[in-house]
Amino acid sequence: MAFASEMVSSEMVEATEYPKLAAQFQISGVPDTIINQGADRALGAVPEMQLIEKIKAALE
Amino acid sequence: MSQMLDDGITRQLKDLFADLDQDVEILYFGSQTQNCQFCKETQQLLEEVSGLTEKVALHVYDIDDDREIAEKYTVDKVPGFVIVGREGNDIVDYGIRFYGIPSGHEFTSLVTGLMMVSKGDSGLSDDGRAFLAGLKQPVHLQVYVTPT
Repeated sequence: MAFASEMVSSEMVEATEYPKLAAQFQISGVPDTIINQGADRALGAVPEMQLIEKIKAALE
Repeated sequence: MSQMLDDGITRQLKDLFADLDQDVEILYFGSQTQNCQFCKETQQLLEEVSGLTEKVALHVYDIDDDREIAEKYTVDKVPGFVIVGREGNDIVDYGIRFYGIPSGHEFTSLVTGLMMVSKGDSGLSDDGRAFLAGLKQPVHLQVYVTPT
């Protein structure tokens, strides 16, 4: 999504190397996608449309 | 250090990379001074991957010595790297960042990322693209993974 849109940026974060961040966002299961610093999240390998619904919810 | 990628993976990657289109670059940021558990391994892994094809170039930076470049690409953790496209003299930043050693699923994402940027196709559905076209606010996605 980051590739397709200038409004979207993305990061992959290897949680064991950054324990503080992982704790900040209370990461337990992976993959976990945190949207806009915790406005919402999508746990697991979510399909495209589901992620979009989460992004919409996060932006409200 | 001995080679990190085994022969099987190297063969698979070479096959995949035969499909690469535009040049892409990996901007890697490490640190000699900061406490960086996997900087050496990450750099070696990226060197091995980029060494398999002329279309992927690797630039190695130090997050402190090259602070301005790190800030330009908003890289704030090590090891961290950015996948960018190269069009002639221009670098195109798509907002794709990786933090931590790209093993396990993150390795797949690295390779997928390289292919995507090179071929210029996000692989999203029409609905997905339409959603993105209508976005008015910035969206920052952080995907947390572990090296299994």
